[in-house]
Amino acid sequence: MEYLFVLAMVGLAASMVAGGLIVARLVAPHKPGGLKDIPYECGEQPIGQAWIQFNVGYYLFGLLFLVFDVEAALMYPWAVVFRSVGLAGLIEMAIFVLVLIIGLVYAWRKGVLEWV
Amino acid sequence: MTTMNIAYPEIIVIATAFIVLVADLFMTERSRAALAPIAALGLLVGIAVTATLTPVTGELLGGRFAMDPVAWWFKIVFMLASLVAVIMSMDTLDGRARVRPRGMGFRGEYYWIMLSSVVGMMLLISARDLVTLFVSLEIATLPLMVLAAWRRDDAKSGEAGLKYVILGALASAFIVYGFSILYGLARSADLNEIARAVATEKSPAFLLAVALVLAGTGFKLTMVPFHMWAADVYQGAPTPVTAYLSVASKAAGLAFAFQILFRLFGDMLPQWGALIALFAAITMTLGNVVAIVQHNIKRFMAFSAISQAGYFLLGFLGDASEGVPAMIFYLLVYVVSNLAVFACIVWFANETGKEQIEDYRGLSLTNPLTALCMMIGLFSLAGIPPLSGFVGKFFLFSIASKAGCHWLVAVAAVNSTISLYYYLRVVRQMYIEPADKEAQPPSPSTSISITVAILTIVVSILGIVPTIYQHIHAATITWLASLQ
Repeated sequence: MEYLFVLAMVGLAASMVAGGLIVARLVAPHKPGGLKDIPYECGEQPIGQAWIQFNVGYYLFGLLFLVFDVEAALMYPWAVVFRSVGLAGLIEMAIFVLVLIIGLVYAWRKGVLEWV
Repeated sequence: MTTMNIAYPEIIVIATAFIVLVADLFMTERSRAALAPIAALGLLVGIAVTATLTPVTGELLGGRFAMDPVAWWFKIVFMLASLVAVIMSMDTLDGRARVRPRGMGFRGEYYWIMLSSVVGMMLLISARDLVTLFVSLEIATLPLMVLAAWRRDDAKSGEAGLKYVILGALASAFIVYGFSILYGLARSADLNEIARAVATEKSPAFLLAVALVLAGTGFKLTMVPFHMWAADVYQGAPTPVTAYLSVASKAAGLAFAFQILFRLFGDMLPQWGALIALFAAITMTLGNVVAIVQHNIKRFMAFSAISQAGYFLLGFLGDASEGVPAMIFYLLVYVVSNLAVFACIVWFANETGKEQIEDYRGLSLTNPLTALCMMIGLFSLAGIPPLSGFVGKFFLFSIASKAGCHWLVAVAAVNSTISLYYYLRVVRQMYIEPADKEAQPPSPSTSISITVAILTIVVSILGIVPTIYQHIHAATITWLASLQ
């Protein structure tokens, strides 16, 4: 019986999706074409098509960005509790950053930072 | 802070992994041959530190990481297996092989990835909560997937990696879904607390969680019907990686099964005897029957490894105080025997580039000692007395017999006979078939010859010297007392 909630949840989730689509179909005015077909590029005027081949170098930059992203994400909560974790916390963060720096050095030596 | 020393083995292996990776960046191509000895030295130090660890019990990080006597044995086996795998990989990666496989990539990365997976396995057996357990399982498995696909321009290697990734991800998804349900039922991520909370649980959600987690465990342990990935991955992976996969991933699978079946569902395990017996019977039968018709030696060893997983399962029947030491002892025997055989396969592939069973014909004439060592390894896997494989199987069979599964003992005995037939197929090629006159006889390699010799001696004496089994048995008693 307690699993009835799960079933109700599934039904509710499905009706949320379907409901949104149906209401939009009924209410929204239908005017396709024009500026609506242009890809959104943060307000800039797009140049050319979106279906082009991106340089594979972007993918490596994405990975490198992730290194610093993870670092920053963990440093914020650490900074908040910095006073209570004290010296041990500082050493632990130093080890963590060291591991990430090894990742950066690795990428650097492999020539990832040079744009080909 | 006083118990920090129980984490030293892991810290040493992690540090070695990073040293190898960074050293690779600043070395010249010629001096990179020093990377394998560095990795091997790090593992040796790790083994030495683990061996001298006192006391072998303790916990860290609020009880999320714990060391116990059974974990101690597993860690020793993991490090030994990877040490041998590193030594085996040297010839292939340093270009000493006569037939050089192309696209073997950077050596530092290879050893780094291999050591990372060892760390994952070592954390796996020490994990005490669901998140640590799952993350360490992934740390152990993901590097194996990378290693399977190591040869960049080889289609088979790519296929092996892809199949491993897809099926491994599916298995991980099963496990993590099962874990999430368990967490919901027990409202705790601590393994011991979950075990207490679900001891009397009978709800359908719990049964679903058990089924999902057991399916994932079966995948890691290559239990039939979750074995499909093994043959293709073993065949496609570079030969030293296959050697590592066949022992390390099996040992990690057994470690995971220990965590699941003894720690998490320990109270229910006695009721699941019939299910485990059924799995054991079909796993060993299918593995053995399919191995008969194989021609590729790596694929052949894959099915042999699947059937060995069936023998391991016998240990989960009956009393844990006998089953656990029998399984750990057989794991040790299996790792040593399998590595002895694989060291010969790696060497033969390096020298001739061939991996069909028929290519081994006449090996006893050209390289009598290697052929003898390979035969001893194969006979140990088949369970011929007085080799250690016989002793290991004897313990496992007697457990099944004591648990009342006499039909299963009969199935296992018949399977041992079948396995002897197909292991003898290789021996027949080596000893009875005449050598290929035109082919250049393979020349011995120093590192692999020494490895094979040591492994063969260990295979021969492990079953005769009783101290090791006694130590494992004593370790188990302490461990079981801590489980209560």
